[in-house]
Amino acid sequence: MFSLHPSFLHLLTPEIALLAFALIFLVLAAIKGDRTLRTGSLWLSLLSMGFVLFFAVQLLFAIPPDGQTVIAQTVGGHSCMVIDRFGQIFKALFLLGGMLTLLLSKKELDEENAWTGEYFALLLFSILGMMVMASGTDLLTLWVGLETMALSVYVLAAYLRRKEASVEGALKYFVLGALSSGFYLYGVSFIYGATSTIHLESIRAQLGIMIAKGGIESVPFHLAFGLILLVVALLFKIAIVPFHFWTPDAYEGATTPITAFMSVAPKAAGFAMLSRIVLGGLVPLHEILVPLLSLTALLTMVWGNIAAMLQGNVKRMLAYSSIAHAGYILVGFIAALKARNNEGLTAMLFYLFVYIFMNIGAFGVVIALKGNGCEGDSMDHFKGLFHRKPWLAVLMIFFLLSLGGIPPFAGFLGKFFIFMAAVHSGLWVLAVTLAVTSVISIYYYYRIVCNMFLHEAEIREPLTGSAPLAVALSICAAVNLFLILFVPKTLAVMQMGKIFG
Amino acid sequence: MPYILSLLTYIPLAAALIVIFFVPKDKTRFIKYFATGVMLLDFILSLPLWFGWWGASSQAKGMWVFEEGPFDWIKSIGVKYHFGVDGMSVLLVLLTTLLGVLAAWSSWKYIKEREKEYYVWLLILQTGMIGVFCSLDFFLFYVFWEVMLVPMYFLIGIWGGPNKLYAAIKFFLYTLAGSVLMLIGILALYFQTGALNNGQNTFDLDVIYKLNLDPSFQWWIFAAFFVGFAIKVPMFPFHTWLPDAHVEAPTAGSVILAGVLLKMGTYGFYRFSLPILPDATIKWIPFLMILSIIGVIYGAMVSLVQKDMKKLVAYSSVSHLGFCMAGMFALTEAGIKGSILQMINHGISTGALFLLVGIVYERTHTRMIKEYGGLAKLMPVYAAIFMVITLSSIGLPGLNGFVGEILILLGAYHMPAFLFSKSLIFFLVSGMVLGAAYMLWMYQRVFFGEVTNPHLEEHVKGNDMNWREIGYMAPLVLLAVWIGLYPSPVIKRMEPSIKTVMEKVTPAIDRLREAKGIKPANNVIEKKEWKSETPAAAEDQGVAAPEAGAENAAPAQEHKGE
Repeated sequence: MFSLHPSFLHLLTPEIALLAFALIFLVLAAIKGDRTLRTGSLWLSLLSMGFVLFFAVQLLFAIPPDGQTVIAQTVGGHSCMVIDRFGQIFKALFLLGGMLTLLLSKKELDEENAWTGEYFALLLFSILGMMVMASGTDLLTLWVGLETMALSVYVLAAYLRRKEASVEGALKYFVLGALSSGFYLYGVSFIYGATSTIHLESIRAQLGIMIAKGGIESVPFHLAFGLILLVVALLFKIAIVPFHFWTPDAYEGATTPITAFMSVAPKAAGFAMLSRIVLGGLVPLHEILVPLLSLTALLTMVWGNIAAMLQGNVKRMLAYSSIAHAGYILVGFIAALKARNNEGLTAMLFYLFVYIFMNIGAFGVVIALKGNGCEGDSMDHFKGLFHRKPWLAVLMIFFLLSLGGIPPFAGFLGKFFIFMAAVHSGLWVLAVTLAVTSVISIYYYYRIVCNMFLHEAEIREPLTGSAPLAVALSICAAVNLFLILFVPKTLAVMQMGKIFG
Repeated sequence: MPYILSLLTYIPLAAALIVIFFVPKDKTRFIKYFATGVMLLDFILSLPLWFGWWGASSQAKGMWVFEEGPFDWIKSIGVKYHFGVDGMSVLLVLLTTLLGVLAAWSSWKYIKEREKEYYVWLLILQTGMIGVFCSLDFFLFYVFWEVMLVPMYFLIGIWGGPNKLYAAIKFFLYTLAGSVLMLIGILALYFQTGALNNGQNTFDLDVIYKLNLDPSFQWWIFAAFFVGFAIKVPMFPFHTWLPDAHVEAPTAGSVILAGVLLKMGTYGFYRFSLPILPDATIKWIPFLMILSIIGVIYGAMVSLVQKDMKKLVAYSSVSHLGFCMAGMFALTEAGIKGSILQMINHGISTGALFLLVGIVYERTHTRMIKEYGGLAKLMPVYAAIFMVITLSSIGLPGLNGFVGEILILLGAYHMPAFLFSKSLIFFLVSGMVLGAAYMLWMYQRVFFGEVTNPHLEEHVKGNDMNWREIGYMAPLVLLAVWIGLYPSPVIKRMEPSIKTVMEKVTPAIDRLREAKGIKPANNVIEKKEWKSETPAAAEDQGVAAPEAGAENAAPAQEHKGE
């Protein structure tokens, strides 16, 4: 039925190690109780993620850019999991996001007095799920990864279980998430009915033959229906308009480090899965998919940015801004799909890399403001921050300018590469929309800048510091500021062979 | 000196970092002196650009001088680190370094809170501006272009007037909107370069200059560039950010905004639109000219009715920059010369006007014209300097404004008639007349008559310009007189650069002429140039370019006719 090549087992070290660590944390939490471990479990999980990251990065450089190793097969020799550069980069990104989230967590968990061992175990499990999403090549393997990730994140979103907003947001997330999983499976069943396979490669081959014979019309309706359901389910996961409604509530309700995590890692995983499915399996349908996705990307950029302007809560604003950013990233993806080359994919990866640092940084500042009964997530809480804590305000500027795409910050480079890919593949409308909406985005990012620098402080209590948080913010700021000097190296890592059809 | 341009660009940034990290907030005196000193150092270091000119043989061939690179920076996408100037941009760099000194110096008393931040932003802004004028790589250019927005936002937003938040964000969004559209144009050009460069696309200007683009493609790129540059200039329908930004900005901010930032728009047209997109330029001329004319007349008429001195000066910028645009798109050597010279002049005289308004504002805290009257009696030195600058702004012969305006008119006169109607000159001249009207009328209302406002006497009497103020006004007044009397060193420096641009534009004009079936006969006089303003200038021309001597007579007479 299912066979794993023992000789390739070492390629799975990151996943296996992560699984082992996650189980250890569960057991530890059960034996030692929640109270005794506290920061101990934070450092342990940080260490274990670092360990896994080390393996993942080592693997990333060990495999040649265009190499692809099939490590698991099902009956008939169809691959269901591969190790390649694309997937490995994603895995490194998830782990980076996870580690930064852990650094942000200490202060938040102290403030909420909510230390439990499961918090860390769930984080590790969710990352495990994402890793499977990044390397699966059949619809069910990917689904297993997706559910592992999603179920862990649902629980994390509801982590502050005594807070109404947290539970409400998480429930919304869960209901819509479960619905989209249902869509996904329903779609898969149609596809299986039409093609009698769940392997992306075979689906691609069959679609290719159909379209070569009779054009796009020859795709039977139930197959097309299944494919559309599949794509819609994926768009749900990455919160693309009009499938974004869960995002603001879930982000606002969740505890802030988890919000930061959700806005970064699962989103990246969603893009990984989208790329695997669409570029690996549905490429022959690009004639339909490009306009369809373009339309959603356009709506996402426009609505995400406009809605973000109207928010008074910083977490909600960042939620909408992350919707808009998903739109930008989707443009890179569409460029890759349209031109069928790696330029757009590299741009997408680069953007996701940068996005981790700028978005987690911005959420980190929100956490830094928390304390003394102040949530830190209202626009007013940022007033006069420059006078209270100049450095924090300066770091926040870096993150916001980066999110807005102003050079020399890293966010500019990310947007630039996506922009370039879009122009290169002739997506003029999307390029112009991207340009114009990022100008709109400056308006709401600058509301925060304006509050920090140009207003007097309303709250004067000193902020409680946290060393891990400071470390995380410094790392994020350093990447945002100095990445422009290391672009060639970063791009060289993200060069991949032509892995997709 | 090798790498002088990089040095000039990054010295202010380094100084800003030193201030951030090593100077405590309360050492305001030191910060002031240090920032001004660094600006001065930067200015002194930029002087070799001016004097090193004569020996630079590559300049004579119309190539870059003080060139650095191109070094690979982001190799995989063809971004290079490439700095260099030509005769045109060197003038703007010098203007920038000079105004940098004056801006820092003039802020000593004006800025009374958060001094550390203020000078840090001023220094970073300086880096951005010099970088824009030195970059010969589109990517680099774009980076500097945008870097500059952030400090300016804060200068307006923190130290500005009552409506500063609105003005700051408006300035930022307008400019950003233009520049992202420009970025699309840049990328579209970028993807054309592969064929010329062994399949590797590049942002290097030297390669992009060699492109031979399809006219209809050019049209779209021009449109993208137009939005970016026209907002910056600002041309007529895009100008509304300017009065807000100027009125709210602190004095030094206004000086830099008017003196340097506005020039970036015209610089962009000159450096990129004309040589890269000559065919599109010609197609766009009627549109551009009409907008310029509207800008000239509208800016002047709106200035006429302003109650606030600073706003008046701000709207006068719209009018002056309209002149620059008209001169540039006349596409004759004289017109472009005038346009560039007028950019410098505008930097000098409008910069000076903003400084002057700032000087009196520091004393009285009002800029309303009606609050003044009889100021000449109370501040004679101030009145005298203001007079000189006013006259320079309205283009009195013997002062800098005149030379620029006359060259622009000359250029417009020689403009091939199939490009745009000669009635252009009529509008430009009426703009000049209106310019004299609003400036002199303001001068009259502010300085002459009896002192009617008792507060004015209280604040101002015996409080004429002090030595510091005279010190930072003096260079501008001297420059105004110098360029007015003897502009040829300035013009000589820009000549080779203009020739290079004309070499790109003339074939396009010829193509259009052929397409319209017009004989090229009427174009001979284009050779005739502005030449002798004064006997001194004629002499200088005689020495430097003996073959041009014969042509001196005719234009000199035309000047008298004005």
